[in-house]
Amino acid sequence: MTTLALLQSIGLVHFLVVGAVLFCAGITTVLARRNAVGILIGLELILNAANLNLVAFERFGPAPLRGTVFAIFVLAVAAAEAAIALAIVLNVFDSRDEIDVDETTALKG
Amino acid sequence: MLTLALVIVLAPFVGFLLQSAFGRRLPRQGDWLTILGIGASLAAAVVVFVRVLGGEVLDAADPAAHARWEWMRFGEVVWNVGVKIDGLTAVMLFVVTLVAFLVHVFSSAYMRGDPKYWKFFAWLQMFSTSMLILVLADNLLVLFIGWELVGLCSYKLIGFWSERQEPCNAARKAFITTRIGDLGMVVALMLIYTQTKSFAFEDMFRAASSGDLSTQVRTWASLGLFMAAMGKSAQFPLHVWLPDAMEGPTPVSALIHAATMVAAGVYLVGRTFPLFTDASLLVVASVGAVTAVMAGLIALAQNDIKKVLAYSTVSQLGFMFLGLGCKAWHAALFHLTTHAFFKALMFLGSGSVIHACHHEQDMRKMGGLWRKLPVTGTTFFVGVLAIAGFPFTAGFYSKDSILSGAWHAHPALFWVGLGAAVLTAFYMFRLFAGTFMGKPKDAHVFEHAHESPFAMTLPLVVLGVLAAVSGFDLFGWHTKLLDPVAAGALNAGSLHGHEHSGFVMALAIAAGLIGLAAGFFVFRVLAPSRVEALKRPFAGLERAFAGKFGFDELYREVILRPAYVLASVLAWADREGIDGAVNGLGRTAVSAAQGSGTVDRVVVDGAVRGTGALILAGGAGVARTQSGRIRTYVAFGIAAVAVILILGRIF
Repeated sequence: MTTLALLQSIGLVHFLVVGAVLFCAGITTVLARRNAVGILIGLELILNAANLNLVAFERFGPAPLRGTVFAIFVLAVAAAEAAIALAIVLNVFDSRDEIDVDETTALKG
Repeated sequence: MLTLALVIVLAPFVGFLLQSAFGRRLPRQGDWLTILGIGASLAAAVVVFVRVLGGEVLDAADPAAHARWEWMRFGEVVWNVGVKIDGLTAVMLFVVTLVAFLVHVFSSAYMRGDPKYWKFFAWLQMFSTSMLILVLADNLLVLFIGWELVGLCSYKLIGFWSERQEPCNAARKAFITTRIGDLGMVVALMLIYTQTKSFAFEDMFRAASSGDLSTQVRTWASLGLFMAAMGKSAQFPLHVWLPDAMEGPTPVSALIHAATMVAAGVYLVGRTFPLFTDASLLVVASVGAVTAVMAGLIALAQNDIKKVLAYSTVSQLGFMFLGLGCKAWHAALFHLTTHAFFKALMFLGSGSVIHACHHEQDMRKMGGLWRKLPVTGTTFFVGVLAIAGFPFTAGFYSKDSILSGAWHAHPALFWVGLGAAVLTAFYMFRLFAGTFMGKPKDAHVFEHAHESPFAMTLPLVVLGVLAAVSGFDLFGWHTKLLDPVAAGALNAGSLHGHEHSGFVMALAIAAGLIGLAAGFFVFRVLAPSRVEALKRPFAGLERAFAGKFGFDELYREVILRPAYVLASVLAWADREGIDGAVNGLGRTAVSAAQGSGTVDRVVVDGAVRGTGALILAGGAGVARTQSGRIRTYVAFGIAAVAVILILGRIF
């Protein structure tokens, strides 16, 4: 099988599987890690898993869905979110000298 | 003339206002102010008297004699306030203002030192105003206003010494009794108004003479008016209040309960005379005659000076009504005038005696006072002669004309009146002898007696002169003032009062002289023990006289007691029935409310509280899930999404 053929044999399903793996990795990271920065990284994984799906559906979907536009929006939002979240994390670290989310429970009901 | 009439009414009214506002703080507590007020009124009244005598405004069509202003307008209906001056008004104005003036002067000495001195004068002023309104009124409505105002002032002045219980009771009795009569006045007012659409005297007289008012209506209306007159003038059977009214200060008795207000009933009947029919005049004459004799008999057995004079007043007013009922219009109004003078004289005289004897009113403790009180005694004697009808005194002429009027109209009533005349002379002499003649019966009272000050003797002298001479046709006040009004009232002609027959005159003179002579014989010549012996067979009669024929007891038993019983029955029914129902309803409502309260507390409140408690508990449970741990939240979110996805796949 030639490289081209190999490339052409990559279909929608492959992308979806990679996206799902990425998503699961992100979820796991968010749930498992106690470091706030780690959680943020997990979130990025989740978002990019979604982006991958969007792009893949544009490429292979039955009708043109313009998923790329969404993906770009998601990237912008993710950048803003990362900026804000990192600012919060910095402030939390400033005030508490740690960023373990299990210890920062001041919003407990 | 109109200005004068307004001065007559307004001067004492302004006096009343100023006196009630500032009297207490003025020097001498303002008595001079009120004397000034009534003095201005008297001066104006004298001018009116003289000008009416001059024939100035006898014509009722003359606008100067009769002024009216619109008072109220209801669409087409107009009620007027008006002033009318004719001969009768002029005479009445003079009498009222003069007596009121003299009583004011007298009171300034008599009431000296009273704690409510200033208030007394204020009410005297208000009384004068009211009486003058009554006299000047040109229609029945305004007359009625004055009529009620004098009643109010009489009430205030009888009960002037309100610290004691008797004056208060007497004042209430006077007010309520006269009010019973006034019911008749209200009925007459409404009856006449519905028939003629006017309150003005001339309108109702026109309707009466033209026949627009039927005889029946005239009879009922005039009886209503007479009923009011019976109340005000203390005629049988509404006479019971006047003797009790003697609880008021003596100047008040002189002014209100002898000279002016009680004569207002006679004035009212005289003023509305054209309305009276033969039937109602017979009632007037009979009531007058009965009252004259009955009051005379009661006066025989009274020992309080003022009570004797009070019953004598009732009796003399009966005489006046007898005259009116016999169409002796002139004679009745003539007697009103002379009576005002000599009765005011005697009341003020008795006031002087009471003042001298330090508020002793029982003549059984007096006697021989003539020496101590020469002026009072002499003027009082003139009054006695006048009321007894001694020839050539004022009372002689007026009583004689009434009797001759009765002789022409109702001979039977003439004899009754003649009997009353004998009685009058007799009991008046008894009063005079008991007070001023003979030996002092109480040394202590006699020792301290002293002639009254000038302010008290001056009115006595003025009234004494008038009592002596007012019977004559001075300045032509009969022929020029009363006669024209009488002619109008009687619808021309029949002036019975002037057809003096020699026989009647002789009887009238004899009646007075017999009464006086009998009095002299019984109370001066006979020894007191002989008098007692003479009286013994008539002890029952004397008790009846002294007990005032039991009218007070009769009214107490027949009217008051049933009224009390009815009231207590009604009170019981009220308490047990109506109050019971109301209270029962209240109790039912209370227990229903308590039941409802329990339900409310247990069920509704329970539900509300239960809901609250449930939500609290739920909240507490749910609050535990908000741990503040982000990872837990995320786990929940993912689990929820998973559940939704799984459920979406299944269904």
